[in-house]
Amino acid sequence: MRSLGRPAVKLAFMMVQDKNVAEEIVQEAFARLWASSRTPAAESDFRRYLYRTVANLAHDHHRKLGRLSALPIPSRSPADPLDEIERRSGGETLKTALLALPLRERQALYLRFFEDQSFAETARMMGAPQVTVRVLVHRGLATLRRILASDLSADRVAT
Amino acid sequence: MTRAQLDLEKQLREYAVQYEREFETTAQMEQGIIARIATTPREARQAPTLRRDLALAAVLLLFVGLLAVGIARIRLQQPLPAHPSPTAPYPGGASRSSSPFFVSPEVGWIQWSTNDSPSGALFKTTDAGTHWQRQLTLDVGPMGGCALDVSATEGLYICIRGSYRTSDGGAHWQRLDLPSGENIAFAFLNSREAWTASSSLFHTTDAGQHWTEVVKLDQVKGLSHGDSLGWGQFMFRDALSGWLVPRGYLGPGPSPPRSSPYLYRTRDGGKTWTQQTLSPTVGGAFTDISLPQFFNDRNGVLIVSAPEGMYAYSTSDGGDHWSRPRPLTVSVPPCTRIPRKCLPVGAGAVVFGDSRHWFLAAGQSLARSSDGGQHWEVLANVLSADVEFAGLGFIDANNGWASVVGTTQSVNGQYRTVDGGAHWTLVAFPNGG
Repeated sequence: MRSLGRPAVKLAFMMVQDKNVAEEIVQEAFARLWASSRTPAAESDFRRYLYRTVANLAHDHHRKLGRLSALPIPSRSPADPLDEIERRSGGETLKTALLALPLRERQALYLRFFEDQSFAETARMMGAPQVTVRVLVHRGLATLRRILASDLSADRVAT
Repeated sequence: MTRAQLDLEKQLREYAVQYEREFETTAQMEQGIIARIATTPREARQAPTLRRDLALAAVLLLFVGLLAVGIARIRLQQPLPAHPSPTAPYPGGASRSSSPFFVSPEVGWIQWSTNDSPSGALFKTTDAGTHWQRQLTLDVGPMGGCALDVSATEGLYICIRGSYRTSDGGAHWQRLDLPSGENIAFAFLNSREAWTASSSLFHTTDAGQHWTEVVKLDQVKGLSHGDSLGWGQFMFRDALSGWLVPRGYLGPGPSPPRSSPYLYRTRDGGKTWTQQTLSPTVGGAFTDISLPQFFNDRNGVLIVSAPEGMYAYSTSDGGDHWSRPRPLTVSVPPCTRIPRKCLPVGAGAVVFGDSRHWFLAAGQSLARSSDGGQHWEVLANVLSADVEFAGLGFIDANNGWASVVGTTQSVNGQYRTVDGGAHWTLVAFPNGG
């Protein structure tokens, strides 16, 4: 039972990178599944429906943003030393690289490597053919390798 | 599998462990879900079974009750980014949001989930939302984000996971086969001509009956900095001229400013792109850039956000050249009543009724200009006390729509103004039927 609530928010957060939005999405997903007569009661099927609903709501969110978040003015708070340590340890670099991926690739990688789902189960959760999921994972890994190799921070600055 | 592949997969799994540790328990999240479920009616079923209802209720409550979620320790991002607005109809195209899409003060469409169509349905109004007629029930599961453009006859409704077309102004809709996979991004020129990006950029000139592959995304020439048609936002001013802006920063933490603002231009319908570098802002950096907004085939504007504020760049030659940046001296009061849903001011938040009437919303306040952004008037507390702006759109200087977020419950409708934002009234959305 525990395996559904946490991953739902973790998945949502991985896709929208905003605590408040992730919470809204998970709440909305649960509400929709509750409201629908087609929601299955079996845990494995429910999980797939939940994940798909969360992912689609995340897509909706990004779609509303036009895939271009309005960026808030950065705060002037001092740098967090823990942030720097994490960045130097490489965790921040991989995290940043993941966020550079398109949503579908990010979702596929999350399900494969964060939840250790098989390709078949990942495909069922994403509502896509297995071959599509394999392409998404392959493409996502290739993009990650390229980003990590080329230093993402330098890549962001216009030349 | 190569060693490099194994190393990367190992890194991902290690990061997954770290990611797991960043989530903590919070009772508030659980309560929120319980509250939502408690007030959400279940749709009727043909053969209800008590056992199944109880099983589902038990499953849901157990999930919620044992919910151990929370992101308290994650470096908190800034508040919710602003939703971009449905753009006003004008020569030249951009994605038209279906929440709602109005072609005149009275005639418009929305996509909305109802009790009997949780996947969503498309509704039309011809009397500014007093009455809604269902035109299409989405029957293929959640469609993802959508955009729509409809004329008196033809129209196209593109969603991430499916598309529909109409040849009778929306009375009937025909399901379309997607050109390839899912539509990741799309842009309309009018109700017949549109582009959609999936693994390739596809183009239609007959409201989706036929699609032509313009270019495969991994073969697009001229893009750099990791920008892509499949990820950025793009629009077309005509069949050949279009623009792509780099994606916004999605976190975590503050966006690292980039130097001189830039965007990409195509002159061949999307096959090749060239970078247009704009004059630098006062601070020499930018964090966000909007798509160009054209008022006719020559004059247009785009907005750039920088750490120190926002700037307008204008063009009078159809986007071949852009002016030096003009600071926008607009400031709306920060929202305080619903802090976690505040809308920060950014490039995509500026909405254009026409070339002179610009709008910007945050919290419960609306800023408006009638001279092309040179001077602004701030109208405070234009909404009711328990809601705040979540999205904004104007179709002309006076008629606009706003989506809102509520403090205690969701709002089943949107707000409408007919006097340029001075007053707003709630228009309820359909609830089935």
